[in-house]
Amino acid sequence: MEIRVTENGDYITLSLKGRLDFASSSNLKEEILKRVAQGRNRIILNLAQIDFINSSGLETLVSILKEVRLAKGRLLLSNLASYVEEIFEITQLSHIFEIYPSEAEAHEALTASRVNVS
Amino acid sequence: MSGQVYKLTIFPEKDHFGRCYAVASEVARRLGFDPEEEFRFAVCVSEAYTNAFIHGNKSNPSKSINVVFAWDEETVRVDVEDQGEAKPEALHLDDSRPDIDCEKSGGRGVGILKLFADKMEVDERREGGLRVSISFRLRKKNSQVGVQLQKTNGGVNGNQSN
Repeated sequence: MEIRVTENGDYITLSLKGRLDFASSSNLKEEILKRVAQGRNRIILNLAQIDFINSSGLETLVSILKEVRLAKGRLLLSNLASYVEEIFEITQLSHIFEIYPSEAEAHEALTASRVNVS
Repeated sequence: MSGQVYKLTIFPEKDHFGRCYAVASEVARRLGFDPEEEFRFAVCVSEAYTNAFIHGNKSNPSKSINVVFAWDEETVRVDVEDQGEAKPEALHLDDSRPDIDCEKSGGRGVGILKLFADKMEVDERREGGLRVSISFRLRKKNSQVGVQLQKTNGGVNGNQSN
């Protein structure tokens, strides 16, 4: 799986490409936790180019979500293909994750929450 | 099941998860699955394979996993056979729904299998290890039952029989 990180002011976007499974998920977790440790805890995961995800990938995302929340950050998912979204729905993880149709909408949600807080 | 059988023996070498997924996707495409069906099929095979590697073989690099695809004009069945010592109970088959507890890990894979596959069975092999069998109905008449799946390399060994 390829991970492309984009710095966007007060949040970062990680664009993922390929398979999110048992083999690749540890790299993703490592990459995100490294950023969280640096204080970059507002994160958008763009899954547009994820063509496969299974329960191992989901477990990792849940684990990352918990770590990000512990750091008082937010993890938003965007651009899920319909079949990837279905996996989130049938496992009911769509109720746990913040999922947006596009990166722009995820960004809006981050911005809106910041306005509300202040 | 009368029809065709394609058997792979996969050793846990580099990118073995990817190889299993690639072969499952290829089988699905050749059986005429649409992209959504192909995804579901490949996810199920991947889940069964991952379970076999982690829970069955305990990630032992010296133990292989058999993945057997068998299909006729109505059904495709995939048997995933490990060489471990786990009992069927280890797969949490009694879970009626995928795990929705954020604090817990595990259970989602079997939930996905149950929801996507038309049928799922688990039994203990006489030679040791578990066999997870998942079946899918073919919605349209399969015109490519004679598909040739010859691509084998690296840690994957495959053969086909009628």
